[in-house]
Amino acid sequence: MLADSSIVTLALPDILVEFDSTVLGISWVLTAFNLVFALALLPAAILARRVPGPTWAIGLVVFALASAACAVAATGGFLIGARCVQAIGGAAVVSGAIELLARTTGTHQAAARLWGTAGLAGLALGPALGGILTEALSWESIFYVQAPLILLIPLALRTPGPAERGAGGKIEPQPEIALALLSAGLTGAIFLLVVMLTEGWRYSPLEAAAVVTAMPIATVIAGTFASRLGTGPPVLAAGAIAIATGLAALGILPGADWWWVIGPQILVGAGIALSLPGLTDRALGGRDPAGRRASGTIAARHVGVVVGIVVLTPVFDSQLQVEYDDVQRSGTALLLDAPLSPGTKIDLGEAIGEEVAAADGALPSLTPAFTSIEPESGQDETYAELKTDLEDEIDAAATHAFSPAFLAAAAIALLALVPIGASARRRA
Amino acid sequence: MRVLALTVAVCAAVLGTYLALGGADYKPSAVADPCEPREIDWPDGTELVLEQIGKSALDGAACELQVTREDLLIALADPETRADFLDERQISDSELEAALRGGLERAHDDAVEAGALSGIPEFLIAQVIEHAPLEVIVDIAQSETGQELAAKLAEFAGSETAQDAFGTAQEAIAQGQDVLEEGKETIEELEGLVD
Repeated sequence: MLADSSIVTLALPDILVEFDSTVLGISWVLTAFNLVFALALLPAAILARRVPGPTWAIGLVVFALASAACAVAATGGFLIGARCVQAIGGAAVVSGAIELLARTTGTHQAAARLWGTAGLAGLALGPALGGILTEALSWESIFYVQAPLILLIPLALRTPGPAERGAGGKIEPQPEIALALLSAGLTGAIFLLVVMLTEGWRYSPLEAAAVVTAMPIATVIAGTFASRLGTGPPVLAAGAIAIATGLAALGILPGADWWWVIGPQILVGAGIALSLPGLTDRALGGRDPAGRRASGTIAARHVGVVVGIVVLTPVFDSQLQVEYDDVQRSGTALLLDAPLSPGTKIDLGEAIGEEVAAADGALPSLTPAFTSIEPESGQDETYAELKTDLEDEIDAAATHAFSPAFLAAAAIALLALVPIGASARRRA
Repeated sequence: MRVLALTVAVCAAVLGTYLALGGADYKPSAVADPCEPREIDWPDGTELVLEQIGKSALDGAACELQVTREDLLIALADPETRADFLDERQISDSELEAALRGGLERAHDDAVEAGALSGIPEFLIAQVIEHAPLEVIVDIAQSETGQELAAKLAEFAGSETAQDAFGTAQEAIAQGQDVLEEGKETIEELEGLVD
């Protein structure tokens, strides 16, 4: 369940094609889930406090059935609706699970740590799982594999220990605000990066999954060191700065090849390891009836994801239109001036035009157009050069189209320094 | 604090490297100003000459309409894109037609002056430029092959005009064949004398 967003992100390009949607439209598959999830978490936490087992079991049934509904969705609207129901089930599962874990481990803080570890595992496995399922089977399969979660219901029948008594005290909102801001920025790192790799650079879902797995691997490796550094403000600030810098570096990529995005992902991954567990720990802090607080902390992260998608997707979408016009113009110039026979150029222009129309506002793939035309004898090399030049032009434009959104994501992540600093002053 | 200082240093190094490698320097490939004269090396072959005339005409029309030739060409791809282009830039159909015709006239004159265009193709193109409505000009410009283009040119010139033009050409060819025959006979006579 914690891997849901990263799994679904890898399937979005295929879903976009299936429902003939836009990036902005299809982003609601993620937005709707995270928004409803965040809204449903607090009521679910209150319910889970009273009846954790049934909350968890009912949540699993709802989540599994809604997952199956997502898999058979015939329209984008139905899919988004099913995702909303899935999110309600997911919120009940998460709230119930935290409460059950807390009663098993003794405290909500220990439960949250376990939950955090599970979250990192989900983050690490999600992209690879999403890529493999989408490429080997279909986008529907990512929802079908979530349905068997229903089989875990018997676990809810185990008798849990007594509920933890909260210590009371004043709630500090700063860690949650920081978590929300970092989550909003991280949306850029996951959602936008996958869209850039698949839609902009034309990577297959599996290739994209392999590339974006660098980030969770970095998180896991950095996590082993980060746990020794503690959760002091300098460590949290270092994490926020690393995330913001990684996102900014994604906004100024010198080229359109996979190796350019590895360094920024390592920074983001290390930043996650330095900041997210520490902020979660501080957010809980044992000061409040922690079940509700734990759900609030998770809700803050999902609100951040929603804010990230809602703010960043239009930024990217409007820039894509600008780049689209520019690349169409420069591509036309390259084709017009290419030293090929006029007949070949006209045929090629028409074939590319068909690909552009088929792409429906997205950046087109040129390979079908170029393979459908046979250049005149002796012009093979010039023909191949033109294809390379045009593809370079499209790749550069596609990469640049994402720049403002990545830089905006970096700015949002950097804002997390404000609540981190405020929290440090308050404690001092 | 050491972690923070180390992170800041690593982050600065990564950003500095990406910036130094041109990460913030992206600019789309510039397209030429259509009002700037281009060096034209007139090619051999009617098809290539016609292509050059088309490109020069596009430059001329684009310059007059104050757009790039690429934008103009994309606009002429189909009626829908043309309507959007005219609407967006507040250009009327007659202004577009005048610009295209003016561009073609200048390109035609340049080709004739450079000796790249003559004979029947020159005549037919001159007729098209002078008389054809905008739709025909665009249709001819979208010909896929030289043969198709020639057929469209002949079709437009009208049967009477075309027949006159082809009749003159046929007469010239017949006269040329007579000359060749006479030359052949002369050569045979000379060969007989040598033997």
